[in-house]
Amino acid sequence: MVKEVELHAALAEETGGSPDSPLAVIDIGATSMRMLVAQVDKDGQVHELEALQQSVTLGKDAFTSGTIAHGSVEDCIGGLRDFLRILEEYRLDVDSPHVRVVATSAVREAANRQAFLDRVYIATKLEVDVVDNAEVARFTYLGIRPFLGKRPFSTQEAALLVEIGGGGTEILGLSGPTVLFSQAHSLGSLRVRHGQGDRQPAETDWHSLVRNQTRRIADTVRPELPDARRVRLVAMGGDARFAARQLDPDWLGRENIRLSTRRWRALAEEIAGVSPDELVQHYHLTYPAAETLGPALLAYALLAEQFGLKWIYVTALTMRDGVLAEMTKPTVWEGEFTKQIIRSAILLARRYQVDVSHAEHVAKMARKLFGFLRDEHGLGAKYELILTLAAILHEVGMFISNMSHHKHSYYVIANSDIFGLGSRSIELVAQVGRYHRRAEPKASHDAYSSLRRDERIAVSKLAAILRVADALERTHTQRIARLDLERRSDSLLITALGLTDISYEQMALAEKSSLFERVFGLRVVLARRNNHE
Amino acid sequence: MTEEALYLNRELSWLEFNQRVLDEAADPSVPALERLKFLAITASNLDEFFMVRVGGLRLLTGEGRTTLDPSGLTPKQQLAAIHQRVHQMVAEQERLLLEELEPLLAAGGIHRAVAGDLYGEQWQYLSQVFDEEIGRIVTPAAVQDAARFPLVANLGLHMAIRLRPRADDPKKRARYAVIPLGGSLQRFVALPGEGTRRYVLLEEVVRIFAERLFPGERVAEAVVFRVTRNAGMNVDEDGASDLLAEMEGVLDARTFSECIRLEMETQATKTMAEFLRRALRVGSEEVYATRAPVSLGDYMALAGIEADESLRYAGMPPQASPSVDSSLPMFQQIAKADILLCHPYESFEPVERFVREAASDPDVLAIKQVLYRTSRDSPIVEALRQAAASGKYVTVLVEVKARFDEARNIDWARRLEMDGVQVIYGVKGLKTHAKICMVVRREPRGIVRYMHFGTGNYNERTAKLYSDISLFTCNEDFGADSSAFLNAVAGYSTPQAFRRLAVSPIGLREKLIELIEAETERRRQGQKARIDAKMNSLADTDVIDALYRASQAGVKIRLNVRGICCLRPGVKGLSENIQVVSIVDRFLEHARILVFHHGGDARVFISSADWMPRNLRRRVELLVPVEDPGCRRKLIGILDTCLQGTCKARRLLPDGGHERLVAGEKPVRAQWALYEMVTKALASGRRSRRNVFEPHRPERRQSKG
Repeated sequence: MVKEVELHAALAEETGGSPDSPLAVIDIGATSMRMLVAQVDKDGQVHELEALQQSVTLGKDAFTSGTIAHGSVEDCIGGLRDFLRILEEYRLDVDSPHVRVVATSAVREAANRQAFLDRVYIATKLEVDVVDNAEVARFTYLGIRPFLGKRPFSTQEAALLVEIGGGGTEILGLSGPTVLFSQAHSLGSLRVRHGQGDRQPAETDWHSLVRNQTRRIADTVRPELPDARRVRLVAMGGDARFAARQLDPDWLGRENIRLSTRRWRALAEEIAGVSPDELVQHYHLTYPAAETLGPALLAYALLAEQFGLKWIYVTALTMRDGVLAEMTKPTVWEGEFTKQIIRSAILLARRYQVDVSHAEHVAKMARKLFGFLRDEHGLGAKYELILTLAAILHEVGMFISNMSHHKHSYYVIANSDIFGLGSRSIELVAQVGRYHRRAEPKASHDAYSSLRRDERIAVSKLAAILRVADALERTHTQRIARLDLERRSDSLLITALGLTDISYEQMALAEKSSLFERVFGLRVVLARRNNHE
Repeated sequence: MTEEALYLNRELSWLEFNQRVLDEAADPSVPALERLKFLAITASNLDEFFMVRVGGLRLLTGEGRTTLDPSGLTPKQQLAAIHQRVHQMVAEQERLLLEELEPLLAAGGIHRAVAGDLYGEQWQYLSQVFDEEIGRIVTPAAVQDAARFPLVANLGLHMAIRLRPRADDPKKRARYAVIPLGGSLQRFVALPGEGTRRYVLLEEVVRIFAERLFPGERVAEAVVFRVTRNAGMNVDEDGASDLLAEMEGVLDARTFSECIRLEMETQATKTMAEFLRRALRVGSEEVYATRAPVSLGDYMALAGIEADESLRYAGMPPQASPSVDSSLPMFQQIAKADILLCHPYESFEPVERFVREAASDPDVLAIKQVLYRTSRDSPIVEALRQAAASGKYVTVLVEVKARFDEARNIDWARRLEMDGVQVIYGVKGLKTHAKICMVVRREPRGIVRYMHFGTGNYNERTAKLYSDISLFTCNEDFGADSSAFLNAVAGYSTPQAFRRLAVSPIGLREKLIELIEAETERRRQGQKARIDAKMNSLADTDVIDALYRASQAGVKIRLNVRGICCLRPGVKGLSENIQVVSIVDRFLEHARILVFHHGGDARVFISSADWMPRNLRRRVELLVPVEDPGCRRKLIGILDTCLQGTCKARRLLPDGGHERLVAGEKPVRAQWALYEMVTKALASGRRSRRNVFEPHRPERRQSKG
């Protein structure tokens, strides 16, 4: 609570506005752009002030031709300008931390994505964050977190939180408050309508496409579940909310709601049998929404049937709620959320047969060093997590080969999914992992030089710490269980407690501490002290 | 209309409504000038009806269309029935004016003089008026022949002159001229002197001195006439687009301006009448000859003159509402509880104050409002202008399609724009009829949205004459819905799912039918079920069908429908549980109120929408639930009073006619009862709040129109 208050105060200082100023999230999707303006009350309760939506054709462009057409860009900008008017009414500046803009699959996949982002910035001054699947999963988790432990998220049954979007399907597997996995699949309601490139599926084709893809998704999900017979499906997104309103007209869109799979299927069949034009007429939908409705509803129903489920739950929560949660509580890089991420990294480490006890011990000591050197490195909680993950994963490359395993570690990490971590963060983890031994970061290293300056510095600092921590655990026996740290004028004195011989570690340090000395300007001295000394 | 038809004909039902207004003009218990006002209203109502509805039907018959309307009539049959009914009505108007109202007014000192009544001084006075004013304005246009008749303005008063043949014309051909009498000329020319108010009609003066306009000629005949032109296609969906939807593209401008009604004085000779009919190309059934002056709508001006108090209704000034404390800011009071007002019994002032306070409140961030019809120099518009000038974000949706108000709307809307208000000129293809004003305010507890929803326009003048409901609330769900609604009409967002409100044309009709069906279902399950509703018009056949089904299931339905009602009530096996009552009285019934029994936990709504296809399908309208227990009780009480009224209330009969209700031992005149309810509540409210000074203020005179 204290931290939130501090954050609010900090935000107020930055924006010159009131700490109670509303927050806004704009989400640029494949078929629509939405804006949520909300305020958070003293109890942390979120109150929606405005929910706006404009149709866009970004997904149709990006998924068929690979680029966003000029007209679609300008339509999008027109819509954003309307949103800006609403922001002005709430006295929200576009560049204030109270406003966040994210774009998902359509923009991410467009070949002219940079041109799109530049054009949007020039026209609206809005900085758009293009988020990847992992970040979507993180936002989803953050949005849903307050509801975990409550129905339908029980510990007895795993919950599959599924959003079938225009460009793909995101699945978050949960067991009570624990994240089991997050997956992204290419089943997109708009994609199946329009195919890829020149391949336009016939009107009837998409039904079998959806059928095949849902079967494949179920096959991928099943092994990840503790018990594939004890599972609940929670549908998210505009299409799911539409189904909920149709099947229960009294639903106000607040609570999670349970709907019969049989009735859902009937509705899906009915809608799938009608042309988008008729849907627009009958349900007062926009055309892009009408296009995705049939495939999406059918996919949810088929997925539920794959698991033999009688019920489909719908949640009104959206990714925007998660973005909002991150804006109101940037402490997400600590606490429960980081535990989920670390758990996901450990699962990954196990998959590559890493000595997890060693890895966790390195992580523990790295965190201790990180905490002690806070004044020196000036990095925040997010980097502490990146260091931890790099420590856990630094040896995954050994699975490929013992030779230059740090290089293998780099690409294994860089190409893996870690729940809750975006590709940018994963890249940082991978680089810190890579630099845990041998060559130090150099401008001639392509990956390293492609980072932003502040990220390069952070990677160097974290790799330096990781090297020291790894040296301290050279024996892979976790024998340095406790240590004291002391900052001297030109050195860092590490005292290992309860040991009589530390020569291995001292040799390792001599080998591995040069980066540390260069980055922090401190020599590393390892001493020992017996308990009775 | 065929016997077995499920629905009453829309046009004939409207004519029945006009008849009910005319009945007020005929009611001896109504003061004379009020009766004259009702008479004038029936006349101007008919003008509009002809231009739009008859015009629309004429276009259909012109194209040879034979499509049946829901009552089973072809356009031709409808036209024949309309003309037959209107001829009767015009005869009654004529009789009423000449035989009842003029003598009554004369007794009250308001006397119409004709040429034979005038004596020397008056004659001289009129001669002077003619030479100095009238004669300088009126310009006769010579008529070569019937085929080349000069263009006469729609609904303008004209005089047709027949001159004696030239002496040197061996064929003795009649010669004609037309004098337009419209423009800046006053219809009623007051005569000087005496204690009484004597007046002469403009046409009478022109007739007396007509020869002065034709030096050297002799006037054989001078006849007043007026034409009504077809506006069926010219107007928006308020008009006749339901009739003409299938004809889009077929019509061209040529068909618009055709003459569809010719009114003239009965004194016209056969020669003159035939000449005008040929020249203006009207059928014989379209000629309306009257002994009374033509264009009785003009009598509205006469009804407004200063006169003895006994000729008018006693004052019923709007009362301060006991629900509103004039010493406290509106926001503070709305934050405490929702407020419901019943105009014109309760003053409209709190609505104006709401906008005014918003305009000057430093914590207000934005004001958003839909303005459909408003008055000239509207204080609300002024407040919005000031709000924008003081840096608030003000968004106003101005409905430029509001019929006959278009020019006025554009004018003040442009001014608003210049003052920094974001003005949106309506929604494409739809008329925005919803009445909503939302104020976004920053408060210590966060952003709070305050709403006013109404059933009437933001017009402080009509708010004194129309019965309407206002609802103020700051309920969060209503705020979110209002934002979503206003963002949608402003084009900022596609319509989102609404929590509480229902919006036409995207779901209001469905919601209505769903509410009706829910009562039907409850009744089928043996529960008590009831629907009470009040509206101006009921014509949507889907809604009527739902009501028929409800009636057949045994749901008791009481409807208060002022105007058109296409539902046939009281037909065995179809609608015997439906009762329709119409009130036409001093104030124009205008509120839309809905109460569904809902198993004892009544669901109560106000709405801007009538149950007509145009409202439910081609207009942006709102259906607003009233949830505050106090407001609900009050609103149910208001509707009950309207439904229980016996005086000034007519029951609709299965054949579309109507009969006056017979008052029992305790006759109830709904409008009076409501006024009394408010004054009593105010008095008891005052007793409990003696610490507020309330000055006596003179009642401001109601202005015309």
